[in-house]
Amino acid sequence: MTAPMKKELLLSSCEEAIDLAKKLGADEAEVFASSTVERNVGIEKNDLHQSSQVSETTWGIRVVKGGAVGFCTSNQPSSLKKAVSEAVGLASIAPPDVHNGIAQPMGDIPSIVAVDEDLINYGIDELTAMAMRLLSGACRLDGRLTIDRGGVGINHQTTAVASSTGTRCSYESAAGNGFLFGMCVDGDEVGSFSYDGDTVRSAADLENALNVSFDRFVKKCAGAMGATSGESFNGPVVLPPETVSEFLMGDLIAMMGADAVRTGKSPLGEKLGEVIASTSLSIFEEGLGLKGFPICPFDREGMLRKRTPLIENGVLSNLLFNSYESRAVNGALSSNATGGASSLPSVGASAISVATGSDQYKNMVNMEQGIIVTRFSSSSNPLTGDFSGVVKGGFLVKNGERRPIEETTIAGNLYECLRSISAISDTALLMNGTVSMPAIKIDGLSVTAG
Amino acid sequence: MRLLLEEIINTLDGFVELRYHHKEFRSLRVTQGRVESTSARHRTGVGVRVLESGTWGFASTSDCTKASILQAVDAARTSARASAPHRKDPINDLPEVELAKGDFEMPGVDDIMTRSIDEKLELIVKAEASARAASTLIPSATAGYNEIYAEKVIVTTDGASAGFRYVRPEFRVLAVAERDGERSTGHEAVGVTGGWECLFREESDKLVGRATKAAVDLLSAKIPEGGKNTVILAPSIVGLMVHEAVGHTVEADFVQSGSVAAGKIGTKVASDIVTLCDSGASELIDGAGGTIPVDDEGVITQDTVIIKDGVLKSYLHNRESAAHYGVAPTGNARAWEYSDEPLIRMRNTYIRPGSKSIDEIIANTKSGFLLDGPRNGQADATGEFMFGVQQAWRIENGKLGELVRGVTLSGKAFEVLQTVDAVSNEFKWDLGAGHCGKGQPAKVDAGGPYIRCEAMLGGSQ
Repeated sequence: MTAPMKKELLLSSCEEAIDLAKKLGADEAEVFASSTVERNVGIEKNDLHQSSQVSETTWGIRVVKGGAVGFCTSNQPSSLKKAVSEAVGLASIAPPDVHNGIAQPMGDIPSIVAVDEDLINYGIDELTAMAMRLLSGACRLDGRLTIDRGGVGINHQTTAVASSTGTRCSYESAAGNGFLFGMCVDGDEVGSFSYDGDTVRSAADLENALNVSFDRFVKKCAGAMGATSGESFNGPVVLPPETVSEFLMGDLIAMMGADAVRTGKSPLGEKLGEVIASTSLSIFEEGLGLKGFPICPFDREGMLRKRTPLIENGVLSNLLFNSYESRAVNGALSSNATGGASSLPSVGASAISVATGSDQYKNMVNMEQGIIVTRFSSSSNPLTGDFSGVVKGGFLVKNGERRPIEETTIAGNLYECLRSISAISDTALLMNGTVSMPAIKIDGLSVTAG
Repeated sequence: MRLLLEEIINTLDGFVELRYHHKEFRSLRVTQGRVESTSARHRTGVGVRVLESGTWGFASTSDCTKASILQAVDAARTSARASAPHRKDPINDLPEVELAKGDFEMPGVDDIMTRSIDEKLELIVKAEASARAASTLIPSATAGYNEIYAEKVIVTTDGASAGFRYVRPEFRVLAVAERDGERSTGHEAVGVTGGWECLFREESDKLVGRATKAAVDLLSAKIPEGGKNTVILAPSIVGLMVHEAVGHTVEADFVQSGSVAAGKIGTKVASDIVTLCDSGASELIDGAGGTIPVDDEGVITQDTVIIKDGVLKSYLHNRESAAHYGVAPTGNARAWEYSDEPLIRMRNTYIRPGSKSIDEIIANTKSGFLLDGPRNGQADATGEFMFGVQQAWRIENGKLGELVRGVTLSGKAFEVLQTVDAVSNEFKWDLGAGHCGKGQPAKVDAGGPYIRCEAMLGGSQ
């Protein structure tokens, strides 16, 4: 298959599955389908590894019967009846819940064009040549570079959602992407891993965007060489934009899910309307997409997406809801259902931005003693906020000098970190089209050298 | 399906590998008395790999008809031909090896697949309710049951023709405890390749009891001081360390990329009492979660000794890397689903048990910590690792003392293994409920005895 199913055909197939579900005893049904064609060029060991072409169409069928939910996925059109039957069977054994149901359609879904014909017409030979140019360019920047894995690919996808409550929407998108994962090796010295990559919507942007991200990758790999043990102290930590997500945002966004609050796994439900962070911090769920990277205008349940402030000037202003969580709290707006055809709708963010601040990055890293963390590997308990982890890539800054460090751990608490933000940079980095982060400085963290 | 793939492969020239993979995944989850998930996923298709002009081409199709599979073969050939001019280091012929032929039956398939979904749901409803009833300090709990059932057929133009089925059930429970605004969690999980009795060798009630006790006890625990310490690692932590910090660094594709294990075959990387292996079978105790009889290149799996008496003996290989190093493949090529290419992956990774009991080891430890229950973990190209630990007990003068929380364990694997001075005679597989990630997931297991070593403990400064 060289192209995904036409979105109109995909939508029709969803409607047929809904009819089938009703015939098999479902009270309500929703079918989410996606059809994908991908071409990828894999890189390993600084060489081309393998080119591949894969395609698949998947249907996710959710039914409600007697107030209970059942869900089944299939990638076989000939087995859809079996999948619908299993979904109905699963609903038959589950206990009812008054809040279970299928989302009611809400508003007109705008038509968004996210397909660049030049991108989807890239042949595997052109893509392979581009991947090799990018690889050669990265390797020329530093002869010590060793690529463990990498790739350049094109993804062309159609998506459709239909439900017995009247939802009917479909979308077509294409994206070009690439990444590198590896390290520098110099004799017996092996640097720590680094990763970088990007995703764009247009053919004209692809090679340049990947060149920029691969350049960042090489700098991170090179920066990890010559690392020595750090020092133990309590003090500031600077997170460049690429590190903010892994250090702060992953757990924080998960705790903002109304599902986490309802099930007692998040402490944030009782904090709505309260100051939970430095007043310089504002975070938005960017349901309308970030500049230059259109995203699907509807969520996993076919609900119209919107932009939602989550933290405004330090105040927790909203949580994230899908339709179940919305019904469970009597009607909060929902458009944050995430997931694909292979899973039940969950709760999450489609895109995230942290508002820029007023500080210049060069001033933020000008510290008497502190650490710049470029890669962090941690274990955390998002419920309590406690975390402890190893600086996998980073620099100790002391008296105007900086040097790479290893075997250094940082321990702290996520929620205290939010209140201890002392600076946010005046520029942000857009990553993979869906995450926009400035650099952030946090004071008073516990740093232990090995 | 094997007959169809054989019919197709007999019409093809050059090296072609056809892999049929049908997978069914079922997931049941209950939180606070509500059934949060009753879901199933069926995914079926054929992955095609060709080796042409010294490079690989891959394609897949979910349409398992002869015409569609042949189209996928053409697509894979097109990809390989497009790639070949750019490949700097072409792949020569794959090494000859005894390839699997016939059907290989794995235990527990009929047992799990004929049990009703009602029984499985009832199990977790009861477990979740028991967890919340265990203490007034537990306001929230989650219990889950997952199962993966799979059918595979691997056929190659150079002689492999094997089929097998397997089932991997998992059970997990999470308890959240709360007191005066302080919260903590306790988690227990078990996953096996096998049937119901294998999964519940230890009854679900006991697993629930341990998770709730951990959650409640951790409410009163303090964060310890960080720094270098003597630590005794329970089999769960040993498993995580040998998988993340050693196993990945000896995957031959990663070795070729320059991992810390490169060039170290025949050198001392651990203390004399450490022998570390990776096996396709479930060694010592049955049910290990990464068990496979045949890998996804059709190679019969074996028990690969990676480190013997402290000396690095072998990497983990697929056919391509075995050819590069001039050794026999070890049966480590694995693909997660039909649309994934086979990569070098671990199966069941473990340290062989020693002669002392854990009680003796604790009694002979003047000062240190006993660590149990992995939370998560990552390792680096350098072998530097970081694992979260659910529970740690202080050891003073040969006796277990206070429980502490918020602990992470870190170090460089080969340096830590050099410090191992005690290996217990107990053995447990304890990573079967997790997944390994390397671009695609894989079900693996890992474990071993208790070991005592020196490592960095993360806590407060």
